[in-house]
Amino acid sequence: MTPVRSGPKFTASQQEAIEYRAMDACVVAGPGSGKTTVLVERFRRLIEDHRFDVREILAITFTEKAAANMKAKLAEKFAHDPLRLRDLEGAWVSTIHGFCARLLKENAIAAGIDPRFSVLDARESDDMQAECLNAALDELVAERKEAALELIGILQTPWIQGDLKSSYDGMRSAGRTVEETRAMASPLAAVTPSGAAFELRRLLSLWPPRLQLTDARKRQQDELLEWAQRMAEADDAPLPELLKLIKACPLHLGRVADSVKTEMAAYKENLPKFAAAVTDSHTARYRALVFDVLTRFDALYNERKARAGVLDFNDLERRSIELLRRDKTVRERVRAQFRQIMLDEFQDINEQQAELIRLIRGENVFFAVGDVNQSIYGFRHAQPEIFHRYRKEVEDAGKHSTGLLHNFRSRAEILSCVEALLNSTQGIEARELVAGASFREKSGSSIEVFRAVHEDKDEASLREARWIAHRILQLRGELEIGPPEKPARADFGDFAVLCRNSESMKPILDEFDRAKIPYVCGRRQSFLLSREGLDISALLRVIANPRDGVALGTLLRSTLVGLSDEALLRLKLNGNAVGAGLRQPLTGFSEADTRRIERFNAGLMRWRAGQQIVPLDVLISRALSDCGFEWTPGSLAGINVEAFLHLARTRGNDRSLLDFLRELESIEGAVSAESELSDADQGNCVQVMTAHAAKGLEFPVTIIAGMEKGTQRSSAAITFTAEFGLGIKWKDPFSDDGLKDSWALANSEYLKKREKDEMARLLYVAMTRAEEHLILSYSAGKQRAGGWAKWVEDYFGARVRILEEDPPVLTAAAAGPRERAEVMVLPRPVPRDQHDTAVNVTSLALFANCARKYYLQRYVGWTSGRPARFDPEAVARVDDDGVSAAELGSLVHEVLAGKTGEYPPEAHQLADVFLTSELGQRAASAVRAEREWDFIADIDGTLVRGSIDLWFEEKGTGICLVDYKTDAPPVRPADYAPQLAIYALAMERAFGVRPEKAYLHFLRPNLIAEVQLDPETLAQARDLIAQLRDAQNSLRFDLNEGEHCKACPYYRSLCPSTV
Amino acid sequence: MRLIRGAPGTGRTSLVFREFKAALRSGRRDMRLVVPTATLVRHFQHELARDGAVLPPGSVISLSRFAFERAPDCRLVPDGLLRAIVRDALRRLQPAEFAEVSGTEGMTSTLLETIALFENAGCTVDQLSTIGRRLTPHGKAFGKIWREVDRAVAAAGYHSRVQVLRAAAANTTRIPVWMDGFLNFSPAEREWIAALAKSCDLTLTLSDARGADEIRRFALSLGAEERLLTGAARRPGATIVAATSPEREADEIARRILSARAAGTEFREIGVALRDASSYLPLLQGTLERFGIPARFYFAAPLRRHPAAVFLGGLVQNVLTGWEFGAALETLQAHPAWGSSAAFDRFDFKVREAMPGAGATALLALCEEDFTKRLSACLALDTWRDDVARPRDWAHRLEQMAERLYRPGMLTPAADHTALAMERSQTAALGAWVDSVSSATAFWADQEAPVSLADFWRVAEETLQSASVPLADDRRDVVHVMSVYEARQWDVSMLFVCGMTDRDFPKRNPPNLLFPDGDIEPLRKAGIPLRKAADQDREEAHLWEALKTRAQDALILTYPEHDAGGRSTHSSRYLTEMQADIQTARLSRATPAVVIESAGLAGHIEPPDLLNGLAAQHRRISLTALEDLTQCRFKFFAGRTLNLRARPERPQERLQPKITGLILHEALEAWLNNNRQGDFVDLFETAFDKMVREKHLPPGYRLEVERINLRAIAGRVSATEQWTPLSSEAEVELTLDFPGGITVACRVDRIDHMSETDCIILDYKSSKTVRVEQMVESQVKLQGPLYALAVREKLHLNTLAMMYVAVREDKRFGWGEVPGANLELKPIPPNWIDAARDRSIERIESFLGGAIHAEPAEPDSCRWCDFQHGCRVEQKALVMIAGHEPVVQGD
Ligand code: SF4
Repeated sequence: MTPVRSGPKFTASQQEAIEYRAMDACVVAGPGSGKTTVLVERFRRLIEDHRFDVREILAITFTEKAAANMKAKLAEKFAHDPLRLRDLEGAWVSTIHGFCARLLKENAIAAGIDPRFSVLDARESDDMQAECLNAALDELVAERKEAALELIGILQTPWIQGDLKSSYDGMRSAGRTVEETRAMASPLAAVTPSGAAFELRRLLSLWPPRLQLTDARKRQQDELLEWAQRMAEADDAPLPELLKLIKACPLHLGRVADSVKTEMAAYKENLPKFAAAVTDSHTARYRALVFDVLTRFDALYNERKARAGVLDFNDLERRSIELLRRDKTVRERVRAQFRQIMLDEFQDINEQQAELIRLIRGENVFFAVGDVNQSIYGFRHAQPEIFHRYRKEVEDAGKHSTGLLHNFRSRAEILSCVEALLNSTQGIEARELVAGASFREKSGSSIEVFRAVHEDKDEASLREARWIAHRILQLRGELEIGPPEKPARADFGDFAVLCRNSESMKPILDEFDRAKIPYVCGRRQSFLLSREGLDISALLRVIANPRDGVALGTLLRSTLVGLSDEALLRLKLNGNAVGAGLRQPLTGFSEADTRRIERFNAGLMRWRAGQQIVPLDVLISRALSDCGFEWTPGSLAGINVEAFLHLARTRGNDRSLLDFLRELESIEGAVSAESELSDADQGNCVQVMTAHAAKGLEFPVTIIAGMEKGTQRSSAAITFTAEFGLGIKWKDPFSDDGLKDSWALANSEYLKKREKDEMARLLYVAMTRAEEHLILSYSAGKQRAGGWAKWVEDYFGARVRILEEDPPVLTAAAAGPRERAEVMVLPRPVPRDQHDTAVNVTSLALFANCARKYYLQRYVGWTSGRPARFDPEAVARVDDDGVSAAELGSLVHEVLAGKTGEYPPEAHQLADVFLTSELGQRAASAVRAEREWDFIADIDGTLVRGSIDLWFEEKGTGICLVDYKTDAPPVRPADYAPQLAIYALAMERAFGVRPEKAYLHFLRPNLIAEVQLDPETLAQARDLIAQLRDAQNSLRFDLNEGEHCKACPYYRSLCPSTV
Repeated sequence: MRLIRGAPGTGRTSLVFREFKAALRSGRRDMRLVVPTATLVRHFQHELARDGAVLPPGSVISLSRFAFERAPDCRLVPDGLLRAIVRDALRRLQPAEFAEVSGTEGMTSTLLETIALFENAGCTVDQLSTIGRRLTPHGKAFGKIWREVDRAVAAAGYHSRVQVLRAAAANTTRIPVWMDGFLNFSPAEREWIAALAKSCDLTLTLSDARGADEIRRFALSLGAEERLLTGAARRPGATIVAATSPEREADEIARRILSARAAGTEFREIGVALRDASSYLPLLQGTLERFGIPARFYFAAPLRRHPAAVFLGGLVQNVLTGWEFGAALETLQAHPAWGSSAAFDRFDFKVREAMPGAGATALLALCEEDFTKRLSACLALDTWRDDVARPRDWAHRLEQMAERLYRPGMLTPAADHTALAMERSQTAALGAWVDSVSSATAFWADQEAPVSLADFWRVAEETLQSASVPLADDRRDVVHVMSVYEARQWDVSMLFVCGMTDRDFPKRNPPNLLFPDGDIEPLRKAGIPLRKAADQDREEAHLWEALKTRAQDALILTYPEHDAGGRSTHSSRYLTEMQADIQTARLSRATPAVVIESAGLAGHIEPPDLLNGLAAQHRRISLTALEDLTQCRFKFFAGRTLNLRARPERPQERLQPKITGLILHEALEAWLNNNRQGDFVDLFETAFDKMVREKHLPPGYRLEVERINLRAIAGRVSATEQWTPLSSEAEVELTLDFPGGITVACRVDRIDHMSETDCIILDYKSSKTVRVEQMVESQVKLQGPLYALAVREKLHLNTLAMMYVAVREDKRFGWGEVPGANLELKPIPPNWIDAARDRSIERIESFLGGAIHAEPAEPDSCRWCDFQHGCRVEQKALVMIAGHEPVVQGD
């Protein structure tokens, strides 16, 4: 947060920028100039003073984090106004992609997009692109093998996937399709060798007469004529020969006539272009092939996205543009809606985004903020020229153009250093940096410059890393920072290390590990490679398949299982393989190892059974818990575990475990540009990131490391620029550098210039992150350092501290969160009453019969019959008339319950058995009778559900219960006693009187059996309920083995009975 | 009709219970107590039973079931079937307005949502068409599709919700009805309730909150006689708790639950209500489980990802698509018994090694004996591929398949209740799958016309889309975790409402895509009361009002200050209006479920029997293994002793330097054995093709690039050499005898005999040239000196030079001198052979003595090591700093 440290609330220039004037505006905002504060205040005033509705303002930021930050600040502004605060949730404050996503979601049908589309993040789209590109290349090989092999042979490098992908990205950012790019003409005019010869001859004819020439010049003229002759005959020569010939051009400017020097120099300068033009004509066929691959790739990628209902970031922009272009209603609605569009970091916008803004911009509604000096995203196809153009446009039209001059972030010393070092550098727009904040008095300098020296350049980098760690440990707790009124000592969280690229971070991170300096570095990845992350990955791999020996070994040795190496060896020796050893009888192990193995085996079974059933993050935390692993919130281990769980929760729950593991690998490999965490959550850790990722951030102590390093994007084998198109480097028969075609040649010059410009700007951005203290550091081997280091060295000269020795070893005393709050450790509760709340009477009867059978059939629910061999061909047609025994049973009950409808004759026959029986007659003449009397009743705390087939009350006698049975007669009718006893209990509860009699009527043999409802039977029934509760609580369901097992559907399948 | 109003706690529900029980006592069984959701039905049944009633279960009923009961001839079209019908209508009608999106899932969902929107408003297709002219083009296109859907639903013998409600309204059987727990009714429901008010003895209870005004007015308009309960309203103490993140919020909830339990509150008296289940459900599930709190989650999981659906649906899919190996494994692994059996694990790896591939026969060929039978039952389904059958026959077949094939092996009772829940979910999912597939049959108007499996499956897949696995948990003493909708009518002693951020509560649903707010007004004017965003806002507020009153003793409202992605959030606006105690979450963690014993000894083996085992296993060591040992004892232990192997590489990862090295060596062997005669490139091609077959290298661009690269290397290998030997030998097997009876075996790529006594040794390397160059300096690489030693001892030859040939660039690095050639090799160091031998002996002896710890001689090489993530060398480094040995794992 940029503080406005002293003086009036806003400076005059801030006031000027804040003020709304109902016209387009352009604000140049230097680093630390309080730009966000200005944007937020302007937003507030638009609403409070100018009566804008929240939804009429569109604010676009460069990153998600910036958008969240802006929203948070707006919320602070409107804290006093709950109504406005509420509206703020719906405010249009987001990144450009966020805006597009919202626009498309609301107009999905008009835009022709799956209304439920989701957005791929950069890594996901990268992965999908890689797959599609490989598929396109494979198709080329499969369908046009010869051409493909020739192409492989002629490319400078056949590994073109990366370059093709970034070129494809470039095309789309420039708003071009593959076909449009294919159609882009060569930036050079086509020239044939004979044409070149003709031109040379023409130039030679301009030379003064031979008589006036010196001998040397005559010789030169002759050599050139001869060369021209050879060229004139070379129109059909093969490319290598031609190139050789061009290279051999004997033109020496020192030996040409003075009067034609300029023309001859131009001719010479054009030779590479000529070579490129010649290359073009010889490689046209292959160039077309490369475009064919791109076209195919584009189609595949689009198909896959459409199938999955996803869009990538570029699609969001492109589809929004298409929507706005073709749908006038939407366009006009959007234009009418936004009475103010505020856009931050305008210098980093690309052509496509500019077009989008053009489409949504009404008259005089645009407020753009930017700083060309901070344009560092050329590699992502940003075009700072767009900002230049707009600024000029605003100025020319006399609209609102202003600049925020003061810097409220950094100490004056740092600002003057930036100015002096960079103001006259290519790419930087010279500008004064005025210190606007006041700081404490300080005795020493706020800038340090180091150069670590070692003959070997890797060693030099290591030495540099050691010094950086050392310096952090020294400064921590010593350096005073903060505003004068609230000074504090610098802690780890106040340091940031910025690197030119992510590869140069490794030695620094290694050194931080060694010195125990806590750090965060693109946290999304680092937790995967943390100890906890690695162990959890191993755990998941083992769950997927324990034959993965490497994962198994990792897991068994980890603290999650904790097996000794001795135990591992014993497992191997016992079972011939470690995994097999786990399944052998455990002999020879220490007691502790035996326990560990047994626990692991049981756990593994359980985890494997749970995969896909329980959500992945729950599975992981269950497994960790089973292993006895609990973490302390806020500890490094805790942060890592929770980051993993978060990933599993967000990425793992709609895919198989194997898919998730693949995803993990991909995430591991991806580089994150922006940490997702809020500053508050970074903990007290040094932040390590690339200079690019530091954009928009600020740190009390900033260390710019590895300043000698550089990046080279202009040298890629395939390049794209919006200006010239797709350039390809082909195999050069004479050198490894590759042979540029005309597009590549033009691109390479363009990119070189852009890189140079951005190199200065990136350093500008990096240095201006520092608030109070800046350390510039680099290493050098034998040679003089290049890159930024060269500039630094030139500027600081003798003030550079040369480090020829390693620093003394220091290790951080304590690491971790700034304040470690007390953590309560909660004892685990002992659960009670884990039995089911309710139970069915028939289930109770089943339980009484065999607890295991009850478990399988009712408690777990495997109702299917014996496992017969499955023969797909033998599955019959549905028999439209047939009725199974079970179905018949219910039909009979229905008939007896008096339901009307069509029933099979057999149902009526069986029903008649009862109706004509003596019992049936009695029921018919009873004073009261109820059929299918279903109930829920609380018996001893358990809710019992049941359905009584029939009860009736006769005059003079009490209530009789009847239960019909349509199956074969049981061995013992007494088996049904508990069921009827419970019915009796329920009825007693309902009516206050206990039934007198209970009968079972077996309809098939027409057999009636009476069940005694004596106190003993009733007590047994209550006892049975209690037993079931106990069984459910303890999960004990014993077998009741006997002859009857043979009739049980679970015999020899789910049940282990061996009678 | 009666209207009973009263503040929460004034006894509305008790009054209903009293009246209900009185009716029961009088012998009635036809009265109905109607509540909003199925969960509440069960809750009320139980409450009544515990209150002493013996009631017919059907007497407490949800509003929608009650409608069916009153309209017994109507069948509501199942969600899945409706989805299939909508999709089909969209495909057939292809309205121009939706042309670009008609094939998308999202469009089907949008249409389903819109149909529901209209039905809620009590609108029928015919009604919509009366105002057809006033509709937008999207609206008109929707109308067309809806009509078609409506027709198909009727043809299948089903009814829409509005039809059910209207049929219910026509039923005039008079019974006593109490309605409790409702916040609002949709226009369609109101129509029915108006009819009910006339035909039944209807009692409606309502809270006295502002949110209930609308429904009160509605009741009064029906002529309800109102009674206000005036008892003391319930005022639970409210606490607002802020936590730094959702994780800390969940911890805090667990912490408070545990302390309430310790203070005597039973788990079952505690509820947790979620507004946004998607972000809180798994988090709470994991957290409560970790803290040992039994909880019941009133949320049904989608069937789609359940292993039962993956397996059964996968089988059909595989039959239709031909058993692609990857898809087949994913399917088969979901089986409840196979997926975790050792036989399947072996099969899994074999199939992965054979990828890419497809086909039932190919799969079967990779199967082991004991698994073949089981697998062939699945593969036999192939006979269905080209079969046709009546839809209900297909359903029957699939049901048979499900019941026969998806079965666990022998089942022992679950070890605990979480395991039990998993087992129960298997059967619940199986049942749901079968039901869902059967519901597809109604899709076909002609039930007798046979269809293909593919056709049947296309529809069944749609019906499966919306199916879910019913909840299988009925434990007595658990914390209830549910949606705010469920929670609004429960009475619990302690209620947590979590995720109280302004983004989630009040929730804002996105506007309907076909009828955005702006287009709704004209419809309302035409008498179709569609809901607008403002209605939703109001409903959210009512929901919140209801929720606030549900706790009897304590209401705890929690929110995270940052969301799961770390972005800061605002607390819900509802909280700002609350009178509450404001607190921050405390940090807490659970005690481990099991005690971690300090982990076992690492890096050392002591027991004599194990040392013997070690020695027995390593009597013979290959030279490459010995190099591993000199690099790092643990690498050798893990790779060579324990023989730990990584999982099979994916096809695209297989073509690695190791494989290219093998190809070149194979070609070299043939070439040298043939005395360097013949075209080396031809031999290379043969070796390359052989490897492609053996290792299942996938064809394509990468393979061809590698082939071209390797061919170029092959061309260089056979280029002219700078010396002429008397003779050459290739792949010479030699052994070295080390003390203790240990033999080191090596295989020398090439030995050139320069004279009777002298030779040159060559070893071909296909790794990058720089890496080959480093080998000469490496302390770990023993090939040079030990080959020389072996050649001296076994062949009695003196080594003039030993060199590594970096074949990629045809460069040579090594020691010694070749007469007549200028190779710039290093001079052979004095003691070269002996030093290497001593180093080897020392390593072998210390290893066999039990020292197996990770300590790389060349730490840079660790990144190529398979065990870099398992060796825990970094812990060794930490312990070394502290100055302790040996290494003990753990912290
Ligand atoms: S990574 Fe390194 S330390 Fe670990 S086992 Fe492999 S070689 Fe040894």
